[in-house]
Amino acid sequence: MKNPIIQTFGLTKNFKDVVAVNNLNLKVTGGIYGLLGPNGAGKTTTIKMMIGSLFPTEGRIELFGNDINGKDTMDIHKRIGYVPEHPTYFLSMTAEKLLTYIGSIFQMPIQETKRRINDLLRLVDLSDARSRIIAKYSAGMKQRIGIAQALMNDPELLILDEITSNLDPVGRNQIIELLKDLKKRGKTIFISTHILPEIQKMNADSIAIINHGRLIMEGSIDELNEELKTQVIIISPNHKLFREGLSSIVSNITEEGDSLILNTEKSDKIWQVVANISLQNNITIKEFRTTGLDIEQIFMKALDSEQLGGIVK
Amino acid sequence: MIEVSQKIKKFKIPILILCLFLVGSFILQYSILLDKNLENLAQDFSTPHQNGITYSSGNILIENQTVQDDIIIKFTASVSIVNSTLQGSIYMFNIGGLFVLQTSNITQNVVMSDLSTLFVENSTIGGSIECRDDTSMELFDCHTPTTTVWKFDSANIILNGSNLATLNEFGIAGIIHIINSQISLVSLNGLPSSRTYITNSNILFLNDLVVPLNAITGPYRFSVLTFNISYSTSERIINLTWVGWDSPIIDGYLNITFEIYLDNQFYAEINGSGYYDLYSSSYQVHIPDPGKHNVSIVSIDSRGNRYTSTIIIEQISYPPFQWIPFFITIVVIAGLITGTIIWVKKKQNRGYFSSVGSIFKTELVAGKKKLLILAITSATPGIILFFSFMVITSLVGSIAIDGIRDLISMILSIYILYFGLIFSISVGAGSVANAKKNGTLSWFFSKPVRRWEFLWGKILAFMVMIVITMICVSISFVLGSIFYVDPIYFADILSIGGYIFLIGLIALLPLTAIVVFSSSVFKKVGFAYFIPIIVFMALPSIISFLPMLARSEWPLLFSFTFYFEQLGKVWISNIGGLFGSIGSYGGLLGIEITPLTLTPSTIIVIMVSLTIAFFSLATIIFQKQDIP
Repeated sequence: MKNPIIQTFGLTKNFKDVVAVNNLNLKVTGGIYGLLGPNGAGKTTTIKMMIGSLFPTEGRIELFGNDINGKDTMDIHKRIGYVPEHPTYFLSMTAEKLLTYIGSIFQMPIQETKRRINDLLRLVDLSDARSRIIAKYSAGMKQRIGIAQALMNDPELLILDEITSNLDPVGRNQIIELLKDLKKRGKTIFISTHILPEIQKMNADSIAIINHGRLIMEGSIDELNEELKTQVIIISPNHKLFREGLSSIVSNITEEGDSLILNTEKSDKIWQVVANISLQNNITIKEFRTTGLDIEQIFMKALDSEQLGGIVK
Repeated sequence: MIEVSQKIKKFKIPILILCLFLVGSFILQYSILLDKNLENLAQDFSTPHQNGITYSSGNILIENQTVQDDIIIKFTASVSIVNSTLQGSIYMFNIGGLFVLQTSNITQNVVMSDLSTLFVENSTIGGSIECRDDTSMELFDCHTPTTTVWKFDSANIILNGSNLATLNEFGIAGIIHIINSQISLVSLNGLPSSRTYITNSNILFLNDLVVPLNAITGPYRFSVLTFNISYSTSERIINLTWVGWDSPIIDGYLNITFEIYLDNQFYAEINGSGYYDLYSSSYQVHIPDPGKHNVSIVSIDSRGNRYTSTIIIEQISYPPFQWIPFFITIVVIAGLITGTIIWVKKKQNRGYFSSVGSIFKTELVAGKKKLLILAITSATPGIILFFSFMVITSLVGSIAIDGIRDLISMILSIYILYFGLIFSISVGAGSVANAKKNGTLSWFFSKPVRRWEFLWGKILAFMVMIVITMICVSISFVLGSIFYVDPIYFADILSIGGYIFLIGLIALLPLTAIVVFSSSVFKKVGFAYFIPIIVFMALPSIISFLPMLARSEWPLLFSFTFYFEQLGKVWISNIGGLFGSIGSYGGLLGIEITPLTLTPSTIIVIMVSLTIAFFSLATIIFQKQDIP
């Protein structure tokens, strides 16, 4: 069992009467971890508590096993990199000066700072724009210099807050490829977003879905598929018999030609029922297959379930 | 109910202001109502009244009466007293008018203020007469040799054919005419804008501290000769000019001798004999050392009568600038800074203060354009002084050090007052608040930067900016003054530069501390800019200390130790500032509010305490604050 990189314990944040984060328990052990949620779900608040900018009303956050607001805050900050949603660094500086400044904050030797700047600017493909002031960068370039500044200290953990939300598809893909590359280099990436396909493209190891500050689901995409309803498709010339037999178990059944389509989380039980009907009535089943949901479907179903008072961690 | 309470919450500030306004109005109204209760007591002299007799309106004649009470005259009341005796005092307020006609006698005092009018003819006043605030008084043929008249502010007084014991003049304006009268002692202490004209009168002793704008004209017995007196501090010379007339002027010829005494010691003798145009004369008296001196001019007329006029001059001691303590102070400050840097470096090696230096450097680099603008702006007072001195010297020739001081002090007062506000707000107000608003700060705190390190990196950068700016301001004042003054004053001008630097530091540090506090504590940028302005307006004492220091005497500019001694004599201001704000309301409520007199060390302690308190508060609150 790996030690968690990030773990929250009953994390709660209130802004006067508004509960932005409500008893949130997350556990990140490595790889890419996606924090999903609609706008206003509490993602940014959670991240800002993670970096020590906001203080929790209740609960605590541990990074690398230490409380972010404890005595080891500085040591934790030396091991993390953070990219905010809106890059508002020292916009009047050039990329090179910004990274030099960050290097000075980490007390890096000058030679190492220079070498690191060269490497990072190459990594984020900004070598040619190193002497241009950041204010004149495009949105994508600003995000890439954001990633570069976050990597300046070669952090073990990258915390990214909706960094692709303002980018065009090309910019998004660049960032996604960059993050996948960073994952290969062994970095843990904690990313919040409401653009769900990105998480899938990044091959996120785990995701958490939050809404109204509460955790709805947490796990790998496969685990969530298991937990959520799966689509079952039965193709048979006499599928009406199957419909009658299954109507007591599944309410959501649709017919399309020879096919019966069922949305259910009880696929194992359905197979038993279908097999029994087939044997008893000697009906041929042309095809029986179950399909997983994509992340967007998972997200929507998770939100629906939450509204119906279903899954809430 | 919930909705109502929510609405109240939403409008709590306007409701609070409304409540304060209503309470204030009630208090004001109540005090006026109290006065109105006294109005029904008019013209009832048969029994003594506990609170005196008050007249608030109408034309009232008191004739052949003996009044035991005090009489209070106010508003539009017009009172005439004829052939009567008043055993109490008379108080006149708010446009009250009193005419005492013929052979009346007031055994006690007359006190008048606020546009009241008093005309006294052929009457006596046993106590004193006090005139304030745009009042108008005329004494005609009044023989009151034991009476003292006090004139304050813009009161106007005419004494015609009367005699008095003493006339004491104070205040900013108003005119005194003394015609055909006799007064034992006239003491003129007000500002030069308050004028005194003496015509054909006999004044045994005149103490005039407001030269040279008082004029003495007409046939005049030689009891007083103080006209056009001026003195130069550096040269310590008194220029005396006078006009005199012999009592028996025969065919326009005067046979007269003047003897001048300095501190009761014979100083010089001048033969003033001659025709009319020789009656005026002048002489230079050299004062040997600072301090109080009296100069007497004894006029001996053709009959051998001796008339003595004496003036008292207090020459403030302006010792030369004490460069040694100044340099010791600079060395101590430099030592402290060096020591701090070494200590910080050592600590940095152990992982402390790692970011202060980086933030400090970045802040200075980021603020270099602002600093450049501030440095250029600081040339403004120098340019104003340069052209002012150029014009003045072309009109009147060389300028004495007193004139230089006056002009510099006036410009510095205005400059520090407004520049301090502009400097501190432009440098400090947005420094933290803007970073908070645009999210830079939350990003920045994901780095290994302690919050107090961030704040103090900025604060140290501001302090350096203050020092650089004040050096520029001092140089600007020195360069602006030095071109058109006599070279003998160069040392004084350099001293002025040194003190302007010190005053600037003392002024700007607490102001910047308040602004940094506000920028750190408030989450909205607007508050960060607005609250310091409100604070500066609501607590003018904070900023009124320093401009008030720069009053005409300019003592602080000439001696390091003298500066601290004289600092305590500065009042918070009885014209504006805190006292000005609350003094008038206190008066309405009958509360006497006295301006504070602070010792030099108290002022320094207040300024330093304000600086430390606001920087510390900012640090403590910022440390525990959510950064959005």
